[in-house]
Amino acid sequence: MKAVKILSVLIIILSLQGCWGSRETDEMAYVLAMGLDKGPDGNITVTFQIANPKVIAGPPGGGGGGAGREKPLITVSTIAPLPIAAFNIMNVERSRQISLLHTNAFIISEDLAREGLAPYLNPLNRFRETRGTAFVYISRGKASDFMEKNRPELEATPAKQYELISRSFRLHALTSVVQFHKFYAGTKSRDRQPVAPLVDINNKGLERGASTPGALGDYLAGDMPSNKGESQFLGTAVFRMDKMVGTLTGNETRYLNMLTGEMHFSFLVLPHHLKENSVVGVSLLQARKPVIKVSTEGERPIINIELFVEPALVGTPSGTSYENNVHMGVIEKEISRALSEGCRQVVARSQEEFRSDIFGFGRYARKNFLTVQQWRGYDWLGKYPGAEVEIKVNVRIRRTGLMLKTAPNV
Amino acid sequence: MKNLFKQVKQILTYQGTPFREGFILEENAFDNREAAASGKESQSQGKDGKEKSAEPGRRRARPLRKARSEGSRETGDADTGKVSTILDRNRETIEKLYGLPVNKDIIVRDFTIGTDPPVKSFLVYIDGMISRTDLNFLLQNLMLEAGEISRHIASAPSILHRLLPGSQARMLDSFEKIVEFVNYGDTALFIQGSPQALVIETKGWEHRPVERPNSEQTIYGPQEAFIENLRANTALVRKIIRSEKLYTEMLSVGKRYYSDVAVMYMSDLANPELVKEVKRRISSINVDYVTDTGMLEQFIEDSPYNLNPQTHYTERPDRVAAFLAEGKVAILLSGSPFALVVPTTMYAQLHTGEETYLRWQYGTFLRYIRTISFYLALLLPGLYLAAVLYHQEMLPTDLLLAIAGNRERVPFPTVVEILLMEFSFELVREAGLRIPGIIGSTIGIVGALLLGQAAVQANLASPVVIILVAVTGLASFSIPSYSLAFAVRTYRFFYIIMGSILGFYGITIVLFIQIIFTTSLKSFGVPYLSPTGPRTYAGGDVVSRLPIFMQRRRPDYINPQDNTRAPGNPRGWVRDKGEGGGDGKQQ
Amino acid sequence: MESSSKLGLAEAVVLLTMSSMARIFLTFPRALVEISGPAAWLSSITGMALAILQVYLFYLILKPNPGRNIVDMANEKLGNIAGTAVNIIFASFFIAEAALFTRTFSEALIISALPSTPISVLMTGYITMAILGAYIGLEALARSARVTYPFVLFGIALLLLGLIPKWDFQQVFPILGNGPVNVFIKGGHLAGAVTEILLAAVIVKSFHGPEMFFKITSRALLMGFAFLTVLLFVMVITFGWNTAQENTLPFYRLATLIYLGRFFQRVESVFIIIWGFIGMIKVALTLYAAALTLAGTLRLPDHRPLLWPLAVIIYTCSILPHDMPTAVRLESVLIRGVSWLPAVALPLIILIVSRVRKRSGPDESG
Repeated sequence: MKAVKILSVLIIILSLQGCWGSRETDEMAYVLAMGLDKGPDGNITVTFQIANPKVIAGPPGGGGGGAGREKPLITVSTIAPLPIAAFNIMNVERSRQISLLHTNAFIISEDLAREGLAPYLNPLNRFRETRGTAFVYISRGKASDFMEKNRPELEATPAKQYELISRSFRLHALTSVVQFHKFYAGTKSRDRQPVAPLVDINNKGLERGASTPGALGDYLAGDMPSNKGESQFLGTAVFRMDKMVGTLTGNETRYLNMLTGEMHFSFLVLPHHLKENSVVGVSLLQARKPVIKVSTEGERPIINIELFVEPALVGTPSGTSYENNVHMGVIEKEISRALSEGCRQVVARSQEEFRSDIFGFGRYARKNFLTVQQWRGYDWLGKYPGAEVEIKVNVRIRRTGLMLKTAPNV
Repeated sequence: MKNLFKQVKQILTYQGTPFREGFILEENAFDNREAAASGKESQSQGKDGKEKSAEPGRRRARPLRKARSEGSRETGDADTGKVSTILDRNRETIEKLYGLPVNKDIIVRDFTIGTDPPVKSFLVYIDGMISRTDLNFLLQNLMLEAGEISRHIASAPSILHRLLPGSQARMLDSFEKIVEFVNYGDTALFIQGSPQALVIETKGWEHRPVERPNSEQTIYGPQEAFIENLRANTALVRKIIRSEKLYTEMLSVGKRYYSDVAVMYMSDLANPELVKEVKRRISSINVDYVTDTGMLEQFIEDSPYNLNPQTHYTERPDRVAAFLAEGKVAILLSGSPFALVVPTTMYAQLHTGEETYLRWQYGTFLRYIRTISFYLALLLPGLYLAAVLYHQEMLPTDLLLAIAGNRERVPFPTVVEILLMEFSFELVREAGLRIPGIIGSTIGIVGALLLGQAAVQANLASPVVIILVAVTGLASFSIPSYSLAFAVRTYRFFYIIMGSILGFYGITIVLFIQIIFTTSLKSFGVPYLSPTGPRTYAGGDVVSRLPIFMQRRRPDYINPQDNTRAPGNPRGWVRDKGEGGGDGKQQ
Repeated sequence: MESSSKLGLAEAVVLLTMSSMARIFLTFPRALVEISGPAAWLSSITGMALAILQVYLFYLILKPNPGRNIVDMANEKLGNIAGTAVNIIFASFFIAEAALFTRTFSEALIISALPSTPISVLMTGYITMAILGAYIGLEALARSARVTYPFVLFGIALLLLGLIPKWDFQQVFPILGNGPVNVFIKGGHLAGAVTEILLAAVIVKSFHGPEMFFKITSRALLMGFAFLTVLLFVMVITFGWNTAQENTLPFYRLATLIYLGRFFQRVESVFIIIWGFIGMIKVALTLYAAALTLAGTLRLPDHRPLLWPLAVIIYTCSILPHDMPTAVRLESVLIRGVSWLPAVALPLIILIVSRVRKRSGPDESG
């Protein structure tokens, strides 16, 4: 059949011209994380964490460990006007083609973020190798320092660490998680301003930080008492368009996550409503996404928020038997009051201090407009700081843990 | 050089497609009520066809020509190849035909029939082709028991009627026909004074007994396989289909020496057009000899240049019976332990028949496993190459780093690595087949294990590639049809090459080519990917297997004379509430 | 010729659906989002209504003349010179379409997957496959489409469902997007210009009669537009329309965003197989239609001798635009500006002429 001839001719033609752009894995160097710092003369310092697969995969064939002292990661920095340019110029130093295909974290220093990120985000979004699903972190110190010192002990590579951190966020809700595409869209959007998690290395050890915390997790990254040298992912950097305008502590981030509906599980410690110096520990679950209604009819927008929280009792060191109906009602009311107070404070900060709608209330306001032009004309971002916010928190304790009754001391 | 230019010119210019008598199984010929009526008609047609196709004159003409060319130069003067009344002359003719003093296979046994005036006569047979007990019994009858008919003249008819205990015997007067039967293990009896010879059926050569299938093993279901004896094979099928509607037509192929071909079909199911086409193709074969169905297949298939097998090659009588009951046609060849079933589809080649014997859930599970392994066998190495060479982003980071780390010390490019290991695997497979007896399978396993382990230790291949090649090899073994597995293995190399040249785009190109070649392929007028491309009624037995009682109709694409497999409710004991069961859903 | 083999309903519908799906993998959805904003999916629905009207127009022409396609009709009703002119416009429209699709598909591959492969190689691949497909014929193309359709469907469903965690339904608002004029008139106009109708009118001889033409084409368009609508909707609720209009290849960008746990992510390369395949079917079908149109115009019994020269013309044309944005702009000019000539104006003329002649016909004879 003629078709076979055509096929063979095609294959011959194609194979005569060689291979185009095939890249063997042993010709590549994979960047796992990329850090952006402020550099001299308006340039930026770009740091790459390159994986050394020889070490990560272990010695081949299972035979004796010859690899020995080689480090699994190589951290290198350079100075360039653009992040992609830096990546390109790094090929001068490395024998292998440097690839961003597996970069899954961008770590940006706070200094740079406060000046505005637009010039750096655009090339990252355009370049085909960088990924929209990579995570963005804001480092309180220098990003290069963080990357140098961040040594996950359980994971073979920081790539896995970053991915797992993004999941462990579900366990405490004290930080936020943002992927690059969402962050990038946020810097261009008028209805939901971006936030990014804060990271830093703990330099202070177990001693208390500057302030005494009022609530659990009321720290910024790096401040939480812990072993020296641990990297911490805690708190949130708040942006207005592409500029960082402030930070939220872990405790405030919890309320942020609650209001955006992204909180899965969190732990809260409340002062006891009867006894001085005693606390009640509850774990929080968000039963439903928050119901948010925005009215744009009046001069000032009115935002109505209804939250649904299902706490579970975790610790009652005071010995009060909350399990009975009377006390249950009291504690529910108490939790509701505390939560709405917390939320109100965070919203107030965003309105007055940051002037930035990090909760995405604007998304709900869009419903009130028919066309994009009308919505643009409304200038939500300008009106948001003046908005009236009403928060209602519905609390219902569903479970009390393994104890149905706290027996009094006999 | 000129030839090359011609080739290039042929590719670049347009030629009208050479005229070939195409055959398309027309749709819906028997879909309606007329089916019943036309069924009868076609039945009689079938009979006509049978007689016509048997074409005794024409078929026998071939051996005649052969006989002439070999021995008739001498017999030419001996009057036109007819049996003479003089015994010695007959003997001379036989000796000339067979070249007797030289040819030691032929035995001429002189004896005297024990009638009252004893009659001289002789037997002609081929040593080893006959059953000795039959012959002894025959001789005993002729020599000892003949006294009882002593009053009669010992002529061929009287002996035929009174003396011969054999199951089949016939009177013939032409040497060509006699020789033909003797060649096939019969014994010829020449009698002094008789113008005819008697041909008595004494076939009895050595052959294998019916054994378990070798290449199509199953756990459930009948455990019989065809053997090299045509008649035994047709009987194996007829044993399953005990119906007078099962027709076996005999044709022959081969010019120098011919082999019998049995064409089996259900006269009330198989589309008469299909039967006619099968017979037309077989009887048009013009070649010196055909010894196996594998050769026959290559003479009758539609597109010899397509990689996919277009006839179903099977050694299981129960599968043949199942196909016949769908309205297909089976072709058996004397001396070949395999039957060809036409038309076939790719899906039929991926079935083993065992799924039908298993409960439908298990059968469906088996089919899905096999579907996955079909794609694995076809695509896995190609996809791996494309991903590792061009699309590294799609591998999870940890996996990629593991692959990269293991590859660091391998000196070859990944393509060479894969091709090397694929080649080694094929080598182990081929060697395991050829090495005699029990060592074969041992060598196969040990060879594969050692080779893989050593290749990794010597840094010739990375462990991932070894696993990949091994999985691919296992997957290709799970394709039931040996021919289709070959096609898949061949296509796999195209995927490997194109995947390494153009990544997923190269894979897409080969996919496109393979799909378009496969969809344009027809097996005896039936599209190769029926019933999914083109979409027709499938009968619930394609990729997943519906419960057996839902399969109420035969597959549409064969266009059988009767579509209904089970009218109404096949499970009589379950009351069919208001036709709620309905017909099998399109699946 | 192919006329002997007829396509079944399912095959024909799927073939045309796959062909009309080709554009959703390219820059087309981006352009629509740019025009209509978050209401792009409404434009797509409007476009569907327009397209169905076009199908009806062709149906009116083809219905009274079973066994003839639009090429024969033009030859017959408009006379030799005008008919040939019209048919050459049809053919060149197909050629331009095939050339631009070849170019944009190849460019898309370079951008997304094979950055260092020369474009000529990719285009050679497409054109060769198109020749092969058009040579082997419509029947095999349709069956291939039918056989691969479940996989395509599965792939697209996987893509869309894999993005569920990133959906934000609030992004659909404001509901009317860039205003009714943009959404319904400009957007609808852009979305409604589909070449598959003309294509179906050319290959109508392979359907079981002109009644099937309406059935097949309208169903194929419904399915094609359903895909487009769903994709646009998902695109808007995943990206937000503001970012959505930035992406050169929205479908590819959507695929890159799939992130379901640590192992199921970065699957976009798998979709290259799907769009590569659909691109090949599209180019092959358009090449086939161009060859068939030209063969009908020149009254040749077989279209296949025309495949080589046409393929060379298409290859040459496709390499002409300087860069990808030019190719994209040309395509939008072709589709938005010029396509109304062969898709509406010329058929309308044919229809009017045939009606007038029919009316005046009996007068002349009587």
